[in-house]
Amino acid sequence: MKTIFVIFKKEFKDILRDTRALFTVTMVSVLAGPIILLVISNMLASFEARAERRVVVVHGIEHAPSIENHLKRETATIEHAPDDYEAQLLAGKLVDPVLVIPKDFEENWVKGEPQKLTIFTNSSNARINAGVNRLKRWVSGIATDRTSILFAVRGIAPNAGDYLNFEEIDLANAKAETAKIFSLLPYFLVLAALYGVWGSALDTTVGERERGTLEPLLVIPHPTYQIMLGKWLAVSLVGCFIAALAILSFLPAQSLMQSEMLKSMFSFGWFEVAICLVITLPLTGLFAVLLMLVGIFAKSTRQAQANATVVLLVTTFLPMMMQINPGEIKTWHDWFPMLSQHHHILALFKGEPINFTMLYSSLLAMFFLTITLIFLAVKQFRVK
Amino acid sequence: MIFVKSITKRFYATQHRKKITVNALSGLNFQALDGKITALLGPNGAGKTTFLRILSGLETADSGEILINGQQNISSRKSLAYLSDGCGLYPRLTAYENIAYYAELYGLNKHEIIQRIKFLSPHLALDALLPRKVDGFSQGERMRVAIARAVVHDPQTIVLDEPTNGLDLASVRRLRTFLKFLVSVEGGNKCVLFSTHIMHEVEKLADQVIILVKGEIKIIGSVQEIMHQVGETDFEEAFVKFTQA
Repeated sequence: MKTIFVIFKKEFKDILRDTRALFTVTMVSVLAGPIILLVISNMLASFEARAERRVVVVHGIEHAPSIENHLKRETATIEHAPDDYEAQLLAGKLVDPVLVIPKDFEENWVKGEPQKLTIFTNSSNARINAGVNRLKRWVSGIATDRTSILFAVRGIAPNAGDYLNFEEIDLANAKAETAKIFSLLPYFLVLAALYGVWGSALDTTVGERERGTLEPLLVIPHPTYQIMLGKWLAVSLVGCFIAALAILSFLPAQSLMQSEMLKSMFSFGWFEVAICLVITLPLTGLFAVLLMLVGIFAKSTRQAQANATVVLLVTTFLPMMMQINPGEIKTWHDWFPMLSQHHHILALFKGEPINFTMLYSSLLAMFFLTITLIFLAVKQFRVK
Repeated sequence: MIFVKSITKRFYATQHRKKITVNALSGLNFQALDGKITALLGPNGAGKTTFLRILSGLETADSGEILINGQQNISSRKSLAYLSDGCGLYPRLTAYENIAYYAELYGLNKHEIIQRIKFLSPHLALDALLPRKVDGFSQGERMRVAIARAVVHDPQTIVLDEPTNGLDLASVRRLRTFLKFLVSVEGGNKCVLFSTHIMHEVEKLADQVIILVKGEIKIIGSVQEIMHQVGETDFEEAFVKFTQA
């Protein structure tokens, strides 16, 4: 035990002395999540503001005085589209869809002939596309009004033509909507756990070999498991500290959010902090031993860093695949590190009750995997 | 004392897509005595470092036996100091912390660590270095700290792999004086074994010389005995004769 403590103490001191690397990793891990939160928040706030300003961009409004009057009654602000509106829509300079009215609109409208209006949009730009339905709703109101008047004149009920009506019921609760908006946040928590141990895990293994300090260490007649455990504990503790800071950083970040809607949706209190810590911190230990193994197998720091990017890719791609193709959560997801963290953190944001049985099984799986990897690292540390 | 009997080591390498066997060490037999400095001399690739790594337990021999102070090498490593040729140190720790870390690993308590470092400090001119971080030390300064770290637990057997590599004259002289002190009665009558390919070092330091060529011992004896064996008055010439034989 004393050897483990001596090695832990030295490694911990050594990691903390690397202030420049530690500062960078801490800043990236701690600030990345809140910055993204603020960016999303500001974006939604601007969407809210845009939804409130009721602007309709029209090309050829002079050809349709009846539409102009209707939109004004709807308190919409009419803006004239520039002549190169297609190019501006493509370039993203114009952020509202453009309603194009043909020259003979008013003449045909008065005659009661069916009319065709064109809406120019850019479906690759979410901001432009978001306004299309609103524009259709506003403009189609004029046709509905006209039909109602015609029916009324003939003594028919105004809604007689509505043979089929749809009522749309969205079963997603407000928290589920939050989860959709904040689906990026679990990535930052998981990546904070990875970045927190990245440098130190490689430095204590392949770094030790490159510095030439590994040989004198191995000459000392102590069991290798004691050396490995001391190193792993130090790396994991620093990683846990950084991951915990990353989680805690969301608490003050909430008060900086601009969007009122978001403020009401995102509730990240001490309970959420505690659950996130339980979910994320054991992952730090797993990442620590995984990267230490990468360091043990590598011949140089450069090679170790290249190999460690595989861990990074798996960490980001696996949950991404689950998000691209969302479906039923399979039982094995809970046994698989990284997927399980994403699943539980997202469930937390959705406001779903925490399934502690699944959480425990996930922690248990991670515990056994960590122990197995430590065993493997101990075996390989002296051999390599 | 180091007792070496029939140590053999083979490596496997690939040459022209064929697996070949390289005999790194072929049946080494010798003794290095307490109170004496033994030099392991040989050209590059002679097997010096491989032998020292086996001696320190970093590698295992294919066959043979090594006894350090009468014990098998694994159990006797506590009484062994090993200094590899890189003299690796932790750059973010101070010289004191580097030495104290190994002392703690060897089981010394705080008081013993302070006493040992106090004892070693004047011998290796460590006073000014102890509170400084190792990052930025010169090669000579690094070597002094690395030697202090290696012998901090007061081992009976000291093994050094090319300790004078890259050192200036002053550092070499200081090291020489220290090694001579270690084998003296006041220094504890230690057994010192070092590898080198610098003839001058061997002439100045070694009580016993082992010339190793291609994994085989060519001759064991004092500098005078080796020169006498081949009828040379210059040690360098005698060494060349043995390596070319």
